Amino acid sequence: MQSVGFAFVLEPALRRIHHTGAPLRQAFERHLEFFNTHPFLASAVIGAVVRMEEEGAPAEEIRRFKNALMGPCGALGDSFFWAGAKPALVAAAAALAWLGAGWAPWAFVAAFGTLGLASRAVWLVRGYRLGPAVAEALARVGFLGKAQRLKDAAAALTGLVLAAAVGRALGAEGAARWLWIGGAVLVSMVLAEGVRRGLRPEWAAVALGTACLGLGMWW
Amino acid sequence: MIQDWLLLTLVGGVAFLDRTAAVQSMASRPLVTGAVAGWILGRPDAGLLVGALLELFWLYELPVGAAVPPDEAGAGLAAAVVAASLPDAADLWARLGAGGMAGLAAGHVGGRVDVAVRRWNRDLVGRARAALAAGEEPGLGRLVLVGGVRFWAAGTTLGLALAGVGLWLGPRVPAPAFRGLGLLGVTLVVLGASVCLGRLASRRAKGCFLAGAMVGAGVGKGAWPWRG
Repeated sequence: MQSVGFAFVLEPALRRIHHTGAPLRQAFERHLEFFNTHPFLASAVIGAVVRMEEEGAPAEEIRRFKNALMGPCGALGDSFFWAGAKPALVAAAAALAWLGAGWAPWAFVAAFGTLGLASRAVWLVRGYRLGPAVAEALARVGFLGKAQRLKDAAAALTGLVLAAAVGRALGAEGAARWLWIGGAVLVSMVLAEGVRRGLRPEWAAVALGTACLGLGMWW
Repeated sequence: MIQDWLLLTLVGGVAFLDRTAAVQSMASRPLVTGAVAGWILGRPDAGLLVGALLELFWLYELPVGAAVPPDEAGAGLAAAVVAASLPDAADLWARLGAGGMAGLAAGHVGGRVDVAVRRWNRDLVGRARAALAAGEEPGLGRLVLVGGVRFWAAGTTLGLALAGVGLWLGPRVPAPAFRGLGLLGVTLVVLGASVCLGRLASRRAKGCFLAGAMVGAGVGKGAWPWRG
């Protein structure tokens, strides 16, 4: 899926290393093979591959390295960036939005953009410096543990968003506010159990939407 | 209105490109596309909050492996356009209800468009290999550009359609529906939070969720009325 992009990124290095002719063509061929991993950690693979190409590693060794690393990089990247950092930062921005901060989306883009660019740059350099040993370096970072803490933060912020939104919608004060928010939290947790067991959110939205519109017309 | 439509189409094209094909700066998230679309149409608060609402549904829709999640960029755009285009008599929650439903539907339409473009782009590897086999330059830069342009074209067309439908539909929502839509707006927030929590699916997540809800309840206006 990412093979053309992978070969495109490597092209300047491959031309510098192999110059022209059959070696360059063969290098392009092997880097046009299937490749799919997390975009932010792909740079670790790219850096290491450049190092291996420079050192004249056999084609089969480079191929095995790429195939061996793209899966784990994908898993680590998906866990940390897509299932950890992104939800936590989005939930923080959504919470700020509900609390009235109109600048929340831009803060989110700046924060996540910085994280993404920094990751790409750092891992590109580390991949080049370490070569195939970048795999151990990736394992030592502890992406999964960090991702779990970010998921906890996202869960807390989601609760905050719910309470802030429901509080704002109802405009109640004091005990009534706490009761309404408590009720919303309870309903949310029951529905969450349904989602966990296979309830399709879109169909739930359609069903609830129909009920709400009917109730609104009748009430 | 035509000017707004064109601006929204531009936003749609750029955001669709940013989703996966280029940069991935997260400017394609509903929070951002909703805020931008709402600002273009003169209702930044509705756009921002309907984007924040949609985020809850797709926070854990991950582009894992070959899976393609719903098109959150188009969804944010469609949601904000509908939310902002409702008649003036509609309150914020009616806008969120209408926009939220529009966004959920648009997300699935856009997701299919994304899949179609990825299938279309599969020929690019073959073209590079064919060039190499013929002893020619593979033209990788040009192929990357072709792939990007295809994504941009699809996103622009989708943005044009979604914005157009939203601008047409929004003002036609009848006033008797506003109360029900307002109720739906609150319901969607609850449902969105439950989707997030359901996808996390751990006892620890529930504990964190409860803690966050208590903090959110405690910091809001009117939480402690005896303080004045």
